[in-house]
Amino acid sequence: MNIENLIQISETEWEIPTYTRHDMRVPVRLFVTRELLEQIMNDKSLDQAVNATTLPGLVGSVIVMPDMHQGYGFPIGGIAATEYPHGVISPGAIGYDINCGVRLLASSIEFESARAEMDTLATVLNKYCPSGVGKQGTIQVSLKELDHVLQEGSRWAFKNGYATQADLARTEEAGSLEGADPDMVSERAKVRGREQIGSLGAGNHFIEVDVVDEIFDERAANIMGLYKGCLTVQIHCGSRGLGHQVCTDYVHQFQSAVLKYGIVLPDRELVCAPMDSPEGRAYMGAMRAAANFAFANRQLLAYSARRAFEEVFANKMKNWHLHQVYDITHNMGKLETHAVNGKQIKVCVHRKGATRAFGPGSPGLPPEYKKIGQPVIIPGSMGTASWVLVGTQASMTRSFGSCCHGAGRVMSRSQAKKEVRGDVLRQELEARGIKVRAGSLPGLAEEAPSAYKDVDMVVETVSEAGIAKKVARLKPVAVIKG
Amino acid sequence: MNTLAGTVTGQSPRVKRTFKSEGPDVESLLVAFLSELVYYQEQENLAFDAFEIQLSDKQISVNMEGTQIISADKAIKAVTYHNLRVEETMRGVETVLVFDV
Repeated sequence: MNIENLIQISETEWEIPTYTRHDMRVPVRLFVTRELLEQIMNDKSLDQAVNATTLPGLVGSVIVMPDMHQGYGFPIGGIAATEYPHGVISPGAIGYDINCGVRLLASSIEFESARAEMDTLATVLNKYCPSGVGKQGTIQVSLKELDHVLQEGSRWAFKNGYATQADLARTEEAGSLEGADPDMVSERAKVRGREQIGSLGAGNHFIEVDVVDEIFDERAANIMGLYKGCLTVQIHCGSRGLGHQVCTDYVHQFQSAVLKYGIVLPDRELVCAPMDSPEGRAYMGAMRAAANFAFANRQLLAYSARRAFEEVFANKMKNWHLHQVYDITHNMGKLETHAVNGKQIKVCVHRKGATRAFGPGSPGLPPEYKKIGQPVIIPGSMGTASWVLVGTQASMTRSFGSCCHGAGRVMSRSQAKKEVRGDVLRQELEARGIKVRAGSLPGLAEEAPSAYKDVDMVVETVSEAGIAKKVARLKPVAVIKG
Repeated sequence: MNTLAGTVTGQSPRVKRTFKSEGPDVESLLVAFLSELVYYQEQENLAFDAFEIQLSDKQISVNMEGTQIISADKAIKAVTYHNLRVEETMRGVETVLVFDV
């Protein structure tokens, strides 16, 4: 793919028209600057976006965000909406880590008054929040109890004392997706998941303590409870081995489904089935169950983070509590109603490495966020800023209510390990005042800031395009990684 | 796969497992089989090094033997179909596979 194949619409918007390749059903719409586009063209993600346009039942355009990079089959940072009920659902367009997402907790603890405790806080967070590949979680549940987790998500956590009503209200879908069907989740997936609930995992998952560094929208920040100079916590993880197994199971099953329904695709990782087919319904039930597992997982980690804050700060200050700002998912297929060609239609919005970014007044938001739009949490790469944005009316009309999800890789994990030494990176981060607890030094190197795009540039792009609005910037002070 | 993950295994005790699957072609059978190994690696901390494989166009049946993993540099989380290729070459059968790590 060459830049000449693309039509530039504005400084931050481009299009790959349907005549680019004979099998495209819809165009690709890109929210990128020329500089970011040139970076994106170093991998195969644009070809993957074009491949995604061949999914049956697509409406509008396949949308890609400025943090786009190459994934398996479907690009990360991609959004595709298929018409309900005859359009398809594709597990590969949602990803292996179903409902991977970010939770943001905030406090009124001033960093300056807590600076001396950061080393202890990092250690205690690391103690309470298990991390690493295959690591067991904070609790273990029976297979029968796990079915309740899969059915109810964060509501299960609430019933068992791990969540508050306020947490649920400030979680996408209140942390519990309707239509989850635990019977559609294989026993193998359940066995993988039941010991991992309440754990962080490895890869790019992390818990990060940040300081609110700058406020861009005072009113929105006040409503969210974000105060300049105060501590926040981000929790980035998903559905662990359970979600991976669900995706594995259905990508395998759908290899036969595409033959049955006569669907021809350029990449087998994009396999799909009509939403109203038995295969499509089964996957939707399983995917929602895995998503509920992820909501409960982040809720348990939030519970553990609160325990850590209590242990470190409760005897030192009065207001040490962490309140929830929001919990968002960035790997999911959701049934939503959007305007397409002037008509409101029900669609399944596949977001893979893309955040829902509903604007003011949108359904499903708690009353305080209906005024300002849904919080969008954009974690940066390790050691760089993270951002809190809000969705806008423009995101509803131009990107199926979606926005970017992070900085986006520019370097593969293996390349990052060749170029960066984990021990050196840790020293650099510590020298900048960032406390690091990492289970693996090679794992730390894989997540080096140089392996990612500049998150500030990504955020400026979506802000300038009008699909999100800046609220606050966060600066890291402690990172816990698997 | 064991080499890619940097898996180090013990000598004993040896354990045996069987695996059967169906799929539309050899590519899907390969992914299903390797996904089984991912499951054992994560769930039972097992790596396998001896295999007896019966393969047809749409079915695979495997008897395998292995031991406990002592250490691994990297865990493979899933086996993808992305850019999947199985080819007969002069040296036998070669495959291109992408793992999710």
